[in-house]
Amino acid sequence: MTRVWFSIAKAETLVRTSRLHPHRKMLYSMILMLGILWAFVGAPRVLSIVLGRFGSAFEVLVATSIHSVMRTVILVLFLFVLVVPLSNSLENVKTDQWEIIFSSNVSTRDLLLGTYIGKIPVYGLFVIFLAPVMITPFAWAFEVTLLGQILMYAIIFVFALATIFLSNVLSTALHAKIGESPRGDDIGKALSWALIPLVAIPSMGMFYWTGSIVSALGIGAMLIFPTTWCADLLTMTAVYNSSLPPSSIANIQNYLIGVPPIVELALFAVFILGLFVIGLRSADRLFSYGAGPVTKKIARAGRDNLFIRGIKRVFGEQFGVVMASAMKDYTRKLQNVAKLSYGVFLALLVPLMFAFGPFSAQIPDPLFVPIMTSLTIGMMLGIFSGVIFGGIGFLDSKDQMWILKSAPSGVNRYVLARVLCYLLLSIPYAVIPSLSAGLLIGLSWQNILLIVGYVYCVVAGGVFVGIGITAANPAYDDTSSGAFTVNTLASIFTMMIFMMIGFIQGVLIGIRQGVFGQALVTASILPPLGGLIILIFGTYRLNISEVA
Amino acid sequence: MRKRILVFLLILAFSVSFVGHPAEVVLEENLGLAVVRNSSPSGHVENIPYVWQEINGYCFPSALSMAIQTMGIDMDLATLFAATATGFSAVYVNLGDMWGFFPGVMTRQVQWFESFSELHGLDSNIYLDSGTDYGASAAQTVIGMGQTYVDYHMENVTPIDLVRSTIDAGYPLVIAADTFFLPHEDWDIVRSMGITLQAGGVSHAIAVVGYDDLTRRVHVYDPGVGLNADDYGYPIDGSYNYSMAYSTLDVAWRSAGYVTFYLAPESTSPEDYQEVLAKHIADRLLGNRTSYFQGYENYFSMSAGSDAFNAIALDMSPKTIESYVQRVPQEHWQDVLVSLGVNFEAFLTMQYYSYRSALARLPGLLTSYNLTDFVATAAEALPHMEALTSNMSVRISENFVPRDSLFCETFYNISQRYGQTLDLAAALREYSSSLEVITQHCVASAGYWEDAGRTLSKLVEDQQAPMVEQVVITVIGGSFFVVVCGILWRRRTSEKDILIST
Repeated sequence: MTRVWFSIAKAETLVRTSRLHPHRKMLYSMILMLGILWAFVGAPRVLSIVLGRFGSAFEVLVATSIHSVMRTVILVLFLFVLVVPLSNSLENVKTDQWEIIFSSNVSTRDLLLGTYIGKIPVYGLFVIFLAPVMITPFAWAFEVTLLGQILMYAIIFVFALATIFLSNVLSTALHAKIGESPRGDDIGKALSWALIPLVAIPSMGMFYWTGSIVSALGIGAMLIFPTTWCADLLTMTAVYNSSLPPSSIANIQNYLIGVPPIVELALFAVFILGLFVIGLRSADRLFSYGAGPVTKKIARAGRDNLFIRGIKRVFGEQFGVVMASAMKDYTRKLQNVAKLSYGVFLALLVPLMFAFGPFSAQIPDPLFVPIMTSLTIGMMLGIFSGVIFGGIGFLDSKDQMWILKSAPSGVNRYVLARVLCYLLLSIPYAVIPSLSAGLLIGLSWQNILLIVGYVYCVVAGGVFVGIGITAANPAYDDTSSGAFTVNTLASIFTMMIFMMIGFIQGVLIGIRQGVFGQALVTASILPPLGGLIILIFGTYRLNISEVA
Repeated sequence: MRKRILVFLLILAFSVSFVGHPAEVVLEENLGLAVVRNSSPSGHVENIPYVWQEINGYCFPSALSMAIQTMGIDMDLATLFAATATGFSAVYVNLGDMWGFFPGVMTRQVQWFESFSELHGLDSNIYLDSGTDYGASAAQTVIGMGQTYVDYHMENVTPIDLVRSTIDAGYPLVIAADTFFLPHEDWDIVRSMGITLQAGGVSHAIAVVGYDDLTRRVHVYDPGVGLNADDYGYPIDGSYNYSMAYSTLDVAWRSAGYVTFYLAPESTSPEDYQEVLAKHIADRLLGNRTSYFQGYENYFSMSAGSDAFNAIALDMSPKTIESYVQRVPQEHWQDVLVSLGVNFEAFLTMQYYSYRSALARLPGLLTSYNLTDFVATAAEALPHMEALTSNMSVRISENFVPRDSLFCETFYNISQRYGQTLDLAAALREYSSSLEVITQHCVASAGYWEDAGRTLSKLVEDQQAPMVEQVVITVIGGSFFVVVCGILWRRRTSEKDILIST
């Protein structure tokens, strides 16, 4: 009799490899072979050509900072492998199907193990294709033997499997908890956005502040992370199977890593085994799913808060209600709040990148940092606003659209309400990063106001573009629809054109005339003007549309 | 091979009697040691104690010693090795083609020059001309060590102006020079080889002691005269003091990037001079990587202090030697093997003499410490270090001379054996017992360096007053303990009360 977990695993694999149907076995084997060829032949050749062009300086850099770089890379990789599947799974919190499975006497442990094993073939392929990119620079710099490389791949593979398992456990636990909430799907989507900064911080750090972050991460405190044990094992495997002289190996072990490899191997083994044992054993206790009575919480409307009441008062009885509804409709969705926060978070990183990153030391021009920071914050928030204020936030359904169309000037008033609502929400969205940037760079209040003004204009442009495009081609509440994808791409593309024209003009004025204010004013004209035209066009399209 | 060895020997510079009085590190200004003739347009610093470098590679500290003693600081070469901690410093590198041991006195000279000057209240500055190839390379080195320099190329000062002003102030000026252009006959050996200084190469240090604008000639004290193996010995005839035309100096100096080590008295040594120096020496002996390679601690191909000796021991295996030799075309393998032996032996010899003399002088510098145990422990390393040395290796000689020494002879024999059999692995195996003996001496030296470092470190710690941080931590920790005990006691009391009341 087939084990339960195996059936689930098989089903999971079949679902995940459905695109390879109907020649699944043959195509999968071919991809696997390609992956192995890539790992041992393709990647070393390609990367050695690419890395060879950087000269011996890069070789020395890789060689001398191996332990710190390895620790950082593994940490980032761990977060990616942990967070990306978790984030993806949270996009669709649908626990209903679990209830069907549990009603057939399937244990949570079987479900956990089955879904995990079922994911391995696909995620394993990712590991096979991505790991060489990480391993090869070190293998190349240290002339690691084939056996050494195989051992390194084995360590990464084991670690990746464990991380995917952890991701699976967390995902299942989160689904179980979130699924209890009537807003589970929305909370899941919000969480999927909130997880991204977790990856973004070390990633940004790695790329922009390699020196300081790496050295900071290279300190002894890192030794408490399992990722460090894995990274150190990889480092020691690489150096023990390399052309390095014994003195260098001794220095790496004694001074850079500081812990005997056998200790880290033991810690690593305990971590991996512990993860699987605890994960599987706790499955039935942690997750409260099972056949039985289900309780659902019902959301109840409360009294409007001060801000909503203020809106109603300012915009009058009729239009105020439309505005308040628009505001409530947007902000009640946690995923929208998460997206706004994510945009602010990314924009906050910009001044750090320019003022304290590698560019600040390399380009001595006093205007470089303020202008580049302002323009980049504007560009980032502008493009992002086109996506988060358009997309699914605009119209929920066709029914809603027809209701609007049936009211006198309904569409125009609705669009206006949405625009005004989003412009209000854009105030903190634009002001917080630009104000922080100005203060961090140490600009005068006049210049800070200029940055705030510029960023707000650009964000407003993004709002116009986002709403305009979505109004012209409504996607409703379906993120998997073709219209949603087209709208998202169109918003990004349009905003990029508007921004780039303004950006280039701004930079040119900044460089040629050295005038900060004029550069920003010039860069801030096109996005709102262009956006307004698209908004008017979108509103017109929505008004005349017969079938959407 | 001959050329390779000669180039190596020429970049070093040979040996003073290490006997002298313990130095008192005080600034003795206006003691009349330096008498200046102010009859412009010429100047000459008188009564400069000449310091012969004796060992190939000691030119810079020798020239420095001359300048310092002129300022009234009683610091001969041996004392300088102790006061700069260079005698207690050693670096080892094994990275690609570069494999070798470097004595403290030859390592990061800019860094120890600056720290020494600071510790002795001297106004120091490095000048160079980044417009020259050598100067540009030197500038990068100085920047890489986190130090600053004055660029003749950018500033409104010329090298000869600095010579004039320094000598007029009563002090000699230490400069770098290309021996190829120095007129003394001892450097004919360099001219016969046609070797001029290349960017990044090791130049020779001399002290400029006088100038005459009328005759347009300068007087120099050259610490390297008398190093020639054929006529080796202290230049008792005074030939170290010679003159040359401005134009000759200019060519020799320019070829060395106009690198200048300016020194002048400024203040007195700080009060904690002895503690700072003792701590520094302990760090150097123990191989503290930050002390040696601040900002480059991750460069694992470098080892320092006691680790430098351990590193030699680890790498002195047939397998490592074979993989190093195999990096060059097979026709050069014999040369490479001999060079390895010569280089290691020469630098280890330099290290041995500087260590021995520094050890002899340190008690005179660190008078507030009882160094008996330290000196006894450190001296244990001497026979092991000496076993790896040979005086033959540090004289300038045109031809390689086979010698009866452990290091050089072993590698020479391996080279000869390989020449006969063309089987490198077999040749290395045949002399593996000699390599083992080298390893044992290195391990022993490393062990005594480490023990000495720990002994000195403990001496410093024992003598240090309790640090403010420790006091604060103790007070906070103690207060926390009292508060926790108090809370527990109160809880227990209230629990008892409840029990009683029930």
